[in-house]
Amino acid sequence: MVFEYKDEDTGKSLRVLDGVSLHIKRGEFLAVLGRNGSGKSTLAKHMNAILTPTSGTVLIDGIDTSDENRLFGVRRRVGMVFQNPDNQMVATIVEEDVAFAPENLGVPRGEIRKRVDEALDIVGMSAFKQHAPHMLSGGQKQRVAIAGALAMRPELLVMDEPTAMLDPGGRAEVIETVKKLNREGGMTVALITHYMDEAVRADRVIVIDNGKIALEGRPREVFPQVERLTSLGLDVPQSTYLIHMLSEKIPGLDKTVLNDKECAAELLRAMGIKKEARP
Amino acid sequence: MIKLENVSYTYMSGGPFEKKALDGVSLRIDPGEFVGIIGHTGSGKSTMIQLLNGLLKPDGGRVIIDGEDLSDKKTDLRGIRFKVGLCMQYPEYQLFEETVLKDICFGPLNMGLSKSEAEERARFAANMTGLPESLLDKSPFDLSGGQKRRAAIAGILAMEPKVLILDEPTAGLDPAGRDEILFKIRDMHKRMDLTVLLVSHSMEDVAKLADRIFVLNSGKIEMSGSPSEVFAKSARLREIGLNVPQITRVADRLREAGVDIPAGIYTVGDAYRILLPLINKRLENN
Ligand SMILES: Nc1ncnc2c1ncn2[C@@H]1O[C@H](COP(=O)(O)OP(=O)(O)OP(=O)(O)O)[C@@H](O)[C@H]1O
Ligand SMILES: Nc1ncnc2c1ncn2[C@@H]1O[C@H](COP(=O)(O)OP(=O)(O)O)[C@@H](O)[C@H]1O
Ligand SMILES: [Mg+2]
Ligand SMILES: [Mg+2]
Repeated sequence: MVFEYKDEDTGKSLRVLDGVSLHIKRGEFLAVLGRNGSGKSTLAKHMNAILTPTSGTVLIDGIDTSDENRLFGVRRRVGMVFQNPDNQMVATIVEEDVAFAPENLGVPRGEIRKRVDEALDIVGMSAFKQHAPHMLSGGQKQRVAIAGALAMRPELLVMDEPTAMLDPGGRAEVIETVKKLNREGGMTVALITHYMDEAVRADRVIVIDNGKIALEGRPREVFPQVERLTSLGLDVPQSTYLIHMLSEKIPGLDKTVLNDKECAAELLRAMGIKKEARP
Repeated sequence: MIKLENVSYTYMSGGPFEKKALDGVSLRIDPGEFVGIIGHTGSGKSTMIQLLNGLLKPDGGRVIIDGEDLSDKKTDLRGIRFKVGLCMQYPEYQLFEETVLKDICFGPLNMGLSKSEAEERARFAANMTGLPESLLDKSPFDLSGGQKRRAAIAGILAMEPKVLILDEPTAGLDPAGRDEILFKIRDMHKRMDLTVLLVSHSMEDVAKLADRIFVLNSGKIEMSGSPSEVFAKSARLREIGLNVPQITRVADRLREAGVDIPAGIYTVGDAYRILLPLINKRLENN
């Protein structure tokens, strides 16, 4: 697919997605990476028909997003969490905000109550049910926005930098939550992020650069390519980078380590120390 | 010099939603320091820094900038705001002009600079933050998230403040952009003796840049010290919603397994310098 933003005044167009072909499988956890302005959010907006392609097609469960008669079918299947939580807050009380999307989908009242409680519980915001969203700090708002998407019980959850404003504890909690929804609930996830330590948790990573898919593969295939990733404006987890640096002097290190646990285990192996690593 | 003396702040005081955001905070920051501020969401970081340039008034205690008490009616708050440049959390909301260039010029024009001086500074600041020339005539609303963030930071830099306060400035920036902006700010800090307060959720960034770290927890200062002092307390940091850099966790795991590696390792460079000889020695012995 190709997408161009059109400037109303000048009539000029800007090509932002340039021949992207992508198949997200049911139940997959996909991470989307890329430098600022590379086209990630634009791609995300195609997944629930906020934008439709200039040429090519986008199919969600077989439904063509350009078919206006079937818009509801697309929106019902895709939950979105955007980069900017304030634009997503619609109600004056947190729990009403979370209830907004399922209400729009016509979910029965009792069921809504259940879903709202459950979603707020998952993101750790139950205590703030009755609060006004504008009183929350940045990270707290982001968690409510995620709860709002979860309350729709979508088949595909598209998240555009959902953890950008969260503290480390909150980030870990959200990513664990997403991992669990994906693994146990079978939810398909597309996560846009600038945090490499989140991307390593995905089944597959794609890197967008200048509107094209520049790199694609499992995290263990992608992250050892340190120079390539750097040239795409990205970096790698500190653990991966340490091993990468040490490898220049010490042959035989496993460069596919992705986190602190794997890194420590690999270094212990290299030093000939046998020790069971803690989880 | 920046001083907080026993400062408290409560939102919606007396109402049913009363919220004590800061509770008896005292601290002192000397000119030319690079300070990191970390804390869980809602711990009071944004409240604290809004007190520092007079956007909020403390309801207890004193905020003193270069000897001037900000609650004092005689204090020229406008002057303080030019001196203490605050880049707010989600600064992209503050973009409102027709073009990116005009937006970056807003602060300098407000300070009374001429249009040409303001534009010169704006172009320089845009370059510092890695915004390409071609975007300067665009509407700020048509930028990507990270591009908006850069424009907002450029707007503050163009005012050339003595104290630069950045509230989570790199959220939404790609890794290259994040490093680029932070290292340029560190460079300015060194060359121009700029005092910097960096609020961040990235333990890695704070570890790389700050000389001293303040840790906020539920409106109080939980601890402060050098990165190696603070990041040696990983268990406590995790308890209060924070963490240590990933590289510190690697070092902690190795130490637990009996490797002779000191506490408080917090950059990849440190880890590399310590581990390389250790591994080589082991390899020779085997
Ligand atoms: N509404 C719009 N009108 C015109 N151009 C736009 C619009 N929105 C985005 N663009 C441009 O399209 C390109 C891609 O933007 P997009 O928001 O998809 O990037 P992104 O990869 O999500 O970046 P980031 O990491 O900063 O969020 C950028 O060059 C941007 O300036
Ligand atoms: N405008 C406001 N009105 C009411 N409460 C607020 C407001 N802004 C922040 N708070 C509350 O004050 C506390 C501290 O918030 P904040 O300073 O934004 O924290 P941080 O920046 O560390 O995330 C939080 O509990 C938050 O909900
Ligand atoms: Mg984006
Ligand atoms: Mg804040």
